Amino acid sequence: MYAVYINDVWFRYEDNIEWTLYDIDMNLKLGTSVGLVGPTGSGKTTLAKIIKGLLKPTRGEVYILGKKIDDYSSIELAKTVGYLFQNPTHQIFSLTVYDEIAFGPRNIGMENIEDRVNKIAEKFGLSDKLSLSPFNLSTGEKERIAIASVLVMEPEILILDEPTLGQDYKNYNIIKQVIYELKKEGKTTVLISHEIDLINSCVDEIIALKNGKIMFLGNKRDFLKNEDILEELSFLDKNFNLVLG
Amino acid sequence: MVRLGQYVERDSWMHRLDGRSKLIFSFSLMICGLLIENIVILTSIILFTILLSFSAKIGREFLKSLKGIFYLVLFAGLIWLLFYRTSLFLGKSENVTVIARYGPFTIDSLGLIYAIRMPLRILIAISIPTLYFMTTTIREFIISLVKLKIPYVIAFTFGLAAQLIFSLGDEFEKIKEAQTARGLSIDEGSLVKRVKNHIPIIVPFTVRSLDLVEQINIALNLKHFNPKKKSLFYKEKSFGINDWIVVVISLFTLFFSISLSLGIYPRFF
Repeated sequence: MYAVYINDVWFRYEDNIEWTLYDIDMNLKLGTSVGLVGPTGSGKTTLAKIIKGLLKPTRGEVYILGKKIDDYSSIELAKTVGYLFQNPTHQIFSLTVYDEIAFGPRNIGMENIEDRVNKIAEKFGLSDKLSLSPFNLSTGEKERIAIASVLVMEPEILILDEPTLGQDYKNYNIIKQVIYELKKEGKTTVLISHEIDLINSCVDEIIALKNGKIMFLGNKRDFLKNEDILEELSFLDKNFNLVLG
Repeated sequence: MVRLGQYVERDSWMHRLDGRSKLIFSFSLMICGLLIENIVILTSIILFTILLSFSAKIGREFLKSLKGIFYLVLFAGLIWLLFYRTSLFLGKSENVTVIARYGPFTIDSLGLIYAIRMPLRILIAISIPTLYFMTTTIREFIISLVKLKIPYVIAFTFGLAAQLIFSLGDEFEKIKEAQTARGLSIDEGSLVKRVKNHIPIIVPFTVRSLDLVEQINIALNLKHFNPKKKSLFYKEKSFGINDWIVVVISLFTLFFSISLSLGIYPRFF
């Protein structure tokens, strides 16, 4: 059984003439960590939102853990697929960090919420901030709260959309460590990122998109060895020479 | 998701028209909708607008975006049906036939006419600007206002406000998605619960709105924006023969609606 199975998916936003995604056929095995890469506007976030059930494909089918995505209720889907959005301010609303992290588990009816929140807060270095207002914290701390509030729901599949965007070196390393541990634990993870270092450390497989189409699907090592693909996906620029001084 | 009045890119005759001719045409149709009381003509204006949207190749998107105001129009009809007598703008009418009575509510023939006429007017007032903005970019809209001799600062403010509405719409969608992803069910439960379910969306939305306004403010200041300084526009549309035809039709529509509302019926009508 695949964690995610996508069969001939095509997607177009209603106000667009062009297809945002087309001819997408792919599957993710349970326990694999996948890097979803590609230039800006290649359709990575759209594909991730389709896997999460936030967008319905114009054509084609999506299966999550062997069950058609349309047959999931919104709560079942929240339990099964976790999604971390690019901007943490899009989800923070509670008066305290504790309530913010506990929001998801309360919605999906989890038990032992206090224990779960304390455990995840410790993992992310937020234990001393649980009673503070999340609005007064730094961007890095907000990002950590956002990741913690998704991970606390213990989803089977986790989608992380640019989790290290705008982070300083220390926060970058904390987040990288968490993603690496998720990979070691055997959690099915989809990581969207432009950071080649993060991709190299935290994923096994690569799905590379360009202009809405899959242009590489396979092993990370093969991907990183292929300079032509790396250049085409803007990870490498052979002609660029940095001149300093 | 198609939003009310969001620009939809197509290659159509309406998209190619100059923003000024479309603006004049939209205003004449809206004035027509306000002045004329005949329900058949009001319905015809709406059908004509729908027809125009299809000729502009955005018919499907136009109808979809208007779907959201269906309940508002229905609610307006109900309010006018039951409470039109309380309106300060109405004189007393003698020829009214009572159709039904339910406790304190009375439904009569005049109420029924208002219950049809007013929603039609609301629909005209919303659908025509919607069609305008779905076929005209915000930039074109600002240029049109400036060319129509509206002071640049007013034109810019209108343009910025219109742009901000769509940006905030995008923000609202993102926040809704983020909270739905954490298991929030917005449309479930009683009315009170549904209102409460919106708090996790409203709070970050307010924060983001204030952020966005502050960012625009900083950006304008950094670029030394001076609304009094005359702006030059890159790539402007020229006023072609089709625009003149549209303006003539608009003036004819205005003339027709004013004559009809004043009770002057020229021989050719």
